[in-house]
Amino acid sequence: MMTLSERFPGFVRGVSTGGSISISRPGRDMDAARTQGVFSHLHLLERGALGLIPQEDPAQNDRVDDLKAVIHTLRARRDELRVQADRTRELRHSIDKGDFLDEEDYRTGENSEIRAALLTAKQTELKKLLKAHHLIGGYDLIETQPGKRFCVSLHTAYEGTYCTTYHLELDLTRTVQVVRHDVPPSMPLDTLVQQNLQTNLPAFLHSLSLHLNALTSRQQQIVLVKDQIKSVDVLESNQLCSVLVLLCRGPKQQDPETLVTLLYRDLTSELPTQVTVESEDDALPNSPQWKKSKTLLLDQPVHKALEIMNKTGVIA
Amino acid sequence: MDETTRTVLQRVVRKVPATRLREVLRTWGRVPARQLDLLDFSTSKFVLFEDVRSLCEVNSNRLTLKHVCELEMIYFIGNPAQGVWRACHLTEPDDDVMTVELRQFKEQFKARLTELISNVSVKIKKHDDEAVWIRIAWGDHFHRPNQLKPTYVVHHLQTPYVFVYNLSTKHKPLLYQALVLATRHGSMKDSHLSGKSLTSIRDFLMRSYQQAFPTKYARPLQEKNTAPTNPNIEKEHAEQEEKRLQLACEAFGEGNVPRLETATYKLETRYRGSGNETLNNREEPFRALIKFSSANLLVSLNHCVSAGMAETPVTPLLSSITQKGKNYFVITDKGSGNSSQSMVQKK
Amino acid sequence: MSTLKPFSKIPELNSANVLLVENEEQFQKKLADVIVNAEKDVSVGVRLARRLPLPVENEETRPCIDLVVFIINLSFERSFQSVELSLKYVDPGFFLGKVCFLVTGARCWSVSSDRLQSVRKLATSLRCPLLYAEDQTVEGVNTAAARLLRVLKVTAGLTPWATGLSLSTLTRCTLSSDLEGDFD
Repeated sequence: MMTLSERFPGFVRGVSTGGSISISRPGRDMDAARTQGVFSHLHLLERGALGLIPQEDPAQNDRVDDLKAVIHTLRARRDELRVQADRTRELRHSIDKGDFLDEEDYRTGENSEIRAALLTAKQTELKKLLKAHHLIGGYDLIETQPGKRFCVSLHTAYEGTYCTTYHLELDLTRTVQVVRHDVPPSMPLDTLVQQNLQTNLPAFLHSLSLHLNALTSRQQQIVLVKDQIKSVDVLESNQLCSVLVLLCRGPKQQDPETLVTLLYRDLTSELPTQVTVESEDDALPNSPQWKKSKTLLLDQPVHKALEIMNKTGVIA
Repeated sequence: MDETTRTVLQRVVRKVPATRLREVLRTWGRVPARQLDLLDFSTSKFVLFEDVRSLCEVNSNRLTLKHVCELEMIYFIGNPAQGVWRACHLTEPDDDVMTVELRQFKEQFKARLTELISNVSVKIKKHDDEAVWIRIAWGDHFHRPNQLKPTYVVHHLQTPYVFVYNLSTKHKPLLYQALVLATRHGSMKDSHLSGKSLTSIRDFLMRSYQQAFPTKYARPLQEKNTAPTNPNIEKEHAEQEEKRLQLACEAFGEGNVPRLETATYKLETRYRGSGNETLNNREEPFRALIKFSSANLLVSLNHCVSAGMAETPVTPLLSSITQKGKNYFVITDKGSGNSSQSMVQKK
Repeated sequence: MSTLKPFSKIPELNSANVLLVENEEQFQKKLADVIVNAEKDVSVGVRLARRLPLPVENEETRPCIDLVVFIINLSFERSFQSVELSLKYVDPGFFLGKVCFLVTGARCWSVSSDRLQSVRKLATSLRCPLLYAEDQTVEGVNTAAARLLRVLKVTAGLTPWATGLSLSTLTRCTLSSDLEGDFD
């Protein structure tokens, strides 16, 4: 009886107090009670209260009609939207294809709102794309003299931070020429220019950008070595950072000093192409420890390699 | 101590200002610091030289010419602005040019030069900022090297630039050849750039000064902040002024620019002025030499352009100073046409 | 390319505006600073220009100009040439007392006297006053600013019983008789 008492506390109270039972719909129900017993009557009443017995209410009929009307309008709206969506899709497709200057549509003014909205969306998208392009290291082009000269900025970055920005001003009047630049003088710019400035500008910019980024990486690595690994001295380097001579000390006081020379022949890479180890102790460079270290130096940026070597006890 | 060593030491002591002598001697490290402190640097140079000499003789009984040359180099590297430095350019690099390394270069250069000329003394020292300093004292078959007038050469490895001080035309080909071979290049030529300050012409040629380039992004604010002006003063041509400033900075750099003293233009062009019949109809070119000189030429030119005294856009004759890294130009008729007319009035 | 007109704008109460035209842009800045700080009673506006015609974009913001001063530095040949070219863009109405010339560098020994003569001829032919100023010293700038300010107040109608035209007629540049011959 829990359900009943929960839902109809007043009703249960009515039963328990005895006396006259007052229920909402006497008539037919009362007859049923007389013929089938109190429990079945109560059961009937419970079902009625829970709404399980279909009720024929005129108000309810009105509501059904209303809802039917709502369904009808919603369906109509849906069809309308479907058509609109189709049209938008179509327009978008045509805009994507590039022929968004459809004369007829313009004249009739049809779809003008959607068209404007779509174009704005397209523009925003392109702007974002451009920004993303800059962020991942694209080139900034600025016309300095319309149709004649322009200026390119090449950004360099190392491990997620921007470093130096280099610039080139190019002249297009007759052949493509570099007017001025602030690329380091040791950079083989002339070679790159000869290779593909005339024929393929993006390729030229790409290779130059590779060179510059690799240079920045090498410069930053040297800075990090000087900064983080105190036991290693940078004896020699050059402007291009293509040679790096390091003086390493062993972990023990009496260990001989080691001269590590890194050669970066591939200027577009931040990793060395050749590693030589020299020491007063002739056997040391051929020890398994140092052999391992050599491969490590070839595979890892120099500051990371030295850090690992430090941890594994090869150097102090 | 032999005679030459003595003379060179005397010259160095004489040349170095008394205020810096202690520091130079300390860096040299042949005389203990304690004894240096006892020296009286305020006496005459003659007395001072005798003191230094006796100290040297007491402390290092075999003080040779090599050591004294080193002393001279130490002073010279610290104070390179003493005369005219000329820039040279190595061209036609070999494939393995990037692998030239200091030790190798030293050996090669010395070997090549001694092959070419018998009596020569070469001393090579690497300075902190990646520069290799070479001191050469020249002699010939009959004379020992003259230590009193050495040639100094500064070269940055892996770059095509060489800076030369006090080089006679007689020794020029010898030095050039030795350098070309030691640095693995095909040839070497004059850059037509000279100046009193080595650091300036080096920075100028290597473009390690602040150049202005147009960018899409606004510059940091402090650069644009100008002195507040009275609201009652209005500039009608403010926009043009800004543009001129930008053009001037693009042509001649901004901020701390290298110090160049002169720019020389040698004209070998036909005279095109009107009215002067004798000059107009000459067969030969009209020869003239135009020299701009200033304490800091680039700043002066920048001012001329930004103040509107020189026309904008900047004439290529002036802007090629920075673009080509030269300050000596020969202008012929075939090249950049009209010459004297486009020269601007110089403040 | 518009000419500068004297009456295209409505003048404001208690204000005077002067246009300083100088090719070198050196002296005009010093003058402008002194002029705006010296006058307290009326609001004085200074417009600085390198040459005429003035940019069309500033047409809206430009107030009614009461006096045009052409500054000629005798040390520079271009200074005079630039002024000669600029004069074409000044409305004839201005020459009724609202234009004056200011010469600097006349004391410089290296300057040929011909330049000064040509400036004088120009001022005479236009019936305008010709003032001399010293641009290198602070006092010189102050004096020149004070004189200009006085002329400006007259041409702006701020001085009772005086007009620019009358002042200009009285102070206009004249040539001595021996030079007048070859001028005509």
